[in-house]
Amino acid sequence: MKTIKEINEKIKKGEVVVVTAEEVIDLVQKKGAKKAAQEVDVVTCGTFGPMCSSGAYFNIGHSKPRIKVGGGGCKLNDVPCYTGFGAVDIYLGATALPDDDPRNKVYPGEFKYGGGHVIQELVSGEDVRLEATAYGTDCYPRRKIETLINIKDMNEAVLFNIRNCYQNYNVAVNLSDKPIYTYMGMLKPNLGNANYCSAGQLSPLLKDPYYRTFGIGTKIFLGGGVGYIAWHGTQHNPSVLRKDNGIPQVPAGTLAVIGDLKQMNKSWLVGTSMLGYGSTLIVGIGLPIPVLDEEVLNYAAVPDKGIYAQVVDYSVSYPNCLPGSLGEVSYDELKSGKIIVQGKEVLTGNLSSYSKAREICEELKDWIKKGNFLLSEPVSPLPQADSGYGFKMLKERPALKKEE
Amino acid sequence: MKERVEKALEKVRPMLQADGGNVELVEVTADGIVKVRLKGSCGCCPMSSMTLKMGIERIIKEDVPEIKEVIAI
Repeated sequence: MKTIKEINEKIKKGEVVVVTAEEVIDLVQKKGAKKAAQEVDVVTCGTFGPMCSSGAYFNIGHSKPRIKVGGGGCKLNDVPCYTGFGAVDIYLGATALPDDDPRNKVYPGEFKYGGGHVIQELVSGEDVRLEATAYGTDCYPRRKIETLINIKDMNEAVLFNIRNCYQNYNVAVNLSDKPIYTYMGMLKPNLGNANYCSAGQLSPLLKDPYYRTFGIGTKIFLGGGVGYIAWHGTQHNPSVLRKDNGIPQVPAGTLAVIGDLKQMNKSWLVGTSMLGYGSTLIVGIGLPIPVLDEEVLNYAAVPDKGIYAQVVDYSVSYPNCLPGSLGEVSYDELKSGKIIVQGKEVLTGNLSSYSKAREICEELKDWIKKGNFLLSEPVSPLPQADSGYGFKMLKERPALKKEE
Repeated sequence: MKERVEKALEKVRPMLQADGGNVELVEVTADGIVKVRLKGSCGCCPMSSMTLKMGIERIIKEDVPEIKEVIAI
């Protein structure tokens, strides 16, 4: 048994032993979990994929005379921000689009520029154009402002992603006879391809499937800088079916994460256009798993062949919330480039970059080994698999207005 | 111009190869259109349109400003 405090002491002394989630697999196979757990202190995990529920809040500073953007309108490079806060606080979501974007009126829709792209430009240090309108008050008389603004001029620029890092995800296919455009990419008709989105054996929540070593307050690699787990993510769904190795068979846990955007970098926050779907942000996240005991290491060492995902039809089943899986495949099979669905060989593609996830594991390992990144004790656990906490569908009810 | 485009593609290749993909230069037209073939895992990659526009096209345009567009065939 080791504690996070003891591991931090080893980090400070330069004696810590860190391996990546990939390296740990071979190590445990060679030495066994018991011996490896005595030797290894930290396992680094990583993921780099599109995560739509991402965004950033900014305090843009007060102009002379003052303007109350709160309750008014605000755009960064023509992309609308949410302004329902105090005078000069705004939030920009990754999927926000300029008002004049044609969406998918021109089929299938290109969504060339949105909130995710603005976030990437800001983090790159580029100036962006701020336009705001207000209704004007006695204390905030100004009604309009147009200016260039840079992230370094802002008081706060904070990445705050309310759902990232999904623990497992569907493999998307199309059973219909026409192409469809989804958040899982373009799906060719009649099982023409299968898209998945996970780093599999490197993915943080698959490596500690019962969220034992992390929770609220855990320090992480976020967008190339340091961030924290703020809460469980939206749609966190820990009470799902799991394999004997603890790994959920369907999408399960999620994280809400937060960090200072000013110290992140553009290599790990990439604005992206999903053809026929919308704009989004690709986010790089890394999680250090402290090897507290043999059990922690056993979970961290589960390879792709022990991690399974469900194949789901996105032409009818997914849009209509119809339950049912077309089969279960391992990440080992997915990474081979083809799987068998309904007797047919189907080519696979990953929306998430395994090689970039591996780079994140290496980068975080380097930070820890150099003593630049101490592990943090979670302040509180996330809702656990036996908590009864789960994901609910929306129950629609008649929304009649009250008579006056 | 074709040689300069090929040289620019050399910069992109390691990134594509890291994820099991590759790119082949097919043609550079007189009006500045580059035609490429995405290979390996890029051929069925859901992110290939992004790779093409934000990766391949951006880098080629930086190095060969006469290029107007890169398209996959």
